[in-house]
Amino acid sequence: MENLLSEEEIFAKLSVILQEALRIGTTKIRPEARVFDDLGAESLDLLDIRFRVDESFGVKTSDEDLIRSLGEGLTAEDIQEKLTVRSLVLYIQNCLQEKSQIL
Amino acid sequence: MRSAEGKDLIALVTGGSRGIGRAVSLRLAAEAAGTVIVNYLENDIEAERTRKLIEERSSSCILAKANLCHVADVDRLFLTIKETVGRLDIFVHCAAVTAFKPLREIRSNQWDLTMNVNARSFLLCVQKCIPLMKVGKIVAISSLGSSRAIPNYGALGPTKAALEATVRYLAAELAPTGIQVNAVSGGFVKTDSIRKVPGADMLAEKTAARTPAGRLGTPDDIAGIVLFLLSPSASWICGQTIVADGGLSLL
Repeated sequence: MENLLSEEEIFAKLSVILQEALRIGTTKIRPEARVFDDLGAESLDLLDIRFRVDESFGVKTSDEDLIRSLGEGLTAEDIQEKLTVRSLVLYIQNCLQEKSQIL
Repeated sequence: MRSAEGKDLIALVTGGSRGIGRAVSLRLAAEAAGTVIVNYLENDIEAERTRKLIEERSSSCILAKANLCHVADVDRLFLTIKETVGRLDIFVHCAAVTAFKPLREIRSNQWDLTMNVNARSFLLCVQKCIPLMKVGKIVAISSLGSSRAIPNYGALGPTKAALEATVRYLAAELAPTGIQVNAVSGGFVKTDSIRKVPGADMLAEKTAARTPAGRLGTPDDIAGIVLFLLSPSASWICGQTIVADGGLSLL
């Protein structure tokens, strides 16, 4: 059941997504790695990663919710600096929790 | 353009909540369609704004959030259309994404994503439109990048070339069934997404100066050509890409 995934399990699945989308090795993918600056993602890649997350985890991510999950009053530009692999994991975990509440 | 019976046509516009898609949705609502189905990816606020503007034009609006990259989402979108309105008369494909960078730097995932949203989703939607259209009109939004090498347009241009080729094949295949397929290609159109182009302001200024008509295109400039292609006056145009760029491509 996707909604019972632990943070570690989400990280493992997300790592595969990031490797496939960004064509990077697994060693670069650490929780504290910044998705843009450290992993080399661009804004189109974030869309691609989110689409893959939607399919893989069965959730509906959104740009606005992702930005909101990083902190109050942030803009789309802030995401480039603030988004880490761990913050993405926590966002996915939140999406899964919301999904389980709906179901 | 109004149908002979009045404003009773049913239209689907992908990427219909913003930019050119919104302009097309609003012109359809004002002139032709009693119901406009606005497909969008995720911006609920802009979609609601588009709905309000459509309703102000005395047409009804159905907001249809769907990721056209996912076949299951496309299937759901058309199932909803079938169950709620039962048919389609018009389909306008405006959905597009891109990264503004040189083609030599495009990663395979970026190529796949732009192809999927910009070109493949058009084909998937048309295949689903066919059983819902007795007779119908389909228009895809292209751009000059399909045939010209525009700096930092490497991710978008090839997808638009694929889109235009898809339009030609579908036009030939579907004309005997009463479904007309064409495309509109704009020059530099002032939309929100164009701001993401590196050096957008300077590029806009230079492009306007180079354009014989002396200005950049607006979403409504493109919407006007789309409405023409959807009108009975354009019924003999089949599989063409109409360039509407203020003369930019002439020089």
